[in-house]
Amino acid sequence: MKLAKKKASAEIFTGSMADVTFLLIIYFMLTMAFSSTKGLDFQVPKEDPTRSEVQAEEAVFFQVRPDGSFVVDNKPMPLDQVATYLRTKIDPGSNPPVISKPIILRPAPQAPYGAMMEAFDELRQVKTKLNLAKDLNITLPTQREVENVWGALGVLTP
Amino acid sequence: MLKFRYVGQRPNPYIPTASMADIVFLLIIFFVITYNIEVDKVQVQLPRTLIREDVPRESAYVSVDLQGVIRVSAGKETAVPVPSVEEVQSFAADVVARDPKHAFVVKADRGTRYQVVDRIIDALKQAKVQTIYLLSEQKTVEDQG
Repeated sequence: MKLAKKKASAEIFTGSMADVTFLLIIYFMLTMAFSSTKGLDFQVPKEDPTRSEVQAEEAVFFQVRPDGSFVVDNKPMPLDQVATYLRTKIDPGSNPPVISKPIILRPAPQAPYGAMMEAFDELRQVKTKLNLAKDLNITLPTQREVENVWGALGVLTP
Repeated sequence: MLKFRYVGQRPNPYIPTASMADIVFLLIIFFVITYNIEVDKVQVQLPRTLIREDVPRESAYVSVDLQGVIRVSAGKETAVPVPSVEEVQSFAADVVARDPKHAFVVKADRGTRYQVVDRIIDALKQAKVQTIYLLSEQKTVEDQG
């Protein structure tokens, strides 16, 4: 007697495909949610020997104290008043308004980094708050630059 | 009332799931394309800002935690600790030599003393880095009080 041979099915089982891919999706979603990839950008100014030196009285001097408070042109100032103060620095007769004076942001070495970022963020918002035609010229000199170059010019002596 | 009767064999009720895999694959392709590999997994409390710009993909990272440990990554590999800020400068100079427009990201805890961040920024400036991003979290209305 001949036994009937059971023919194997020629089908690839894809029933679990959706499960595997769903697991992959869950992995990607979870790992994506925790990554923070945004921040405040600033362009490092290129060295230009033809640029004229900035005079101390022309610049706005923005300090961050070690306790995280702010001083603008030697006057203690909360952040929400900075835009109002900078309104007085708009170039006379400029239309649309422009502030061409550089803003020198100089945090104290012991100041918390978070406070410096708050100040930088506020200065970046001034353009929108005062409807300025262009971004503020914010300079963030490092300690070495202050000691080597700016200090020699007497620009940043408080 | 007229009643219809099924003639012949009644089909089994089932929901077709064959297209499920296609949909899920499309979703996977989306996630793979938009996925940013987190090269630096150090948990820090980032400063909060209202203005936030997108960091370019595969930017180089320099991170510093509250203990002052500095880690660097050129953007593709996992960040590795470096012993001093001087090492950051030589690392950055090496990256800039290969790609002068390579962006750098500084990831620092908001409680870090500015002195530490200042030395890192100075090292990047000396290495002729053109664009630096200071990584931050989104500031909310509650944060502003």
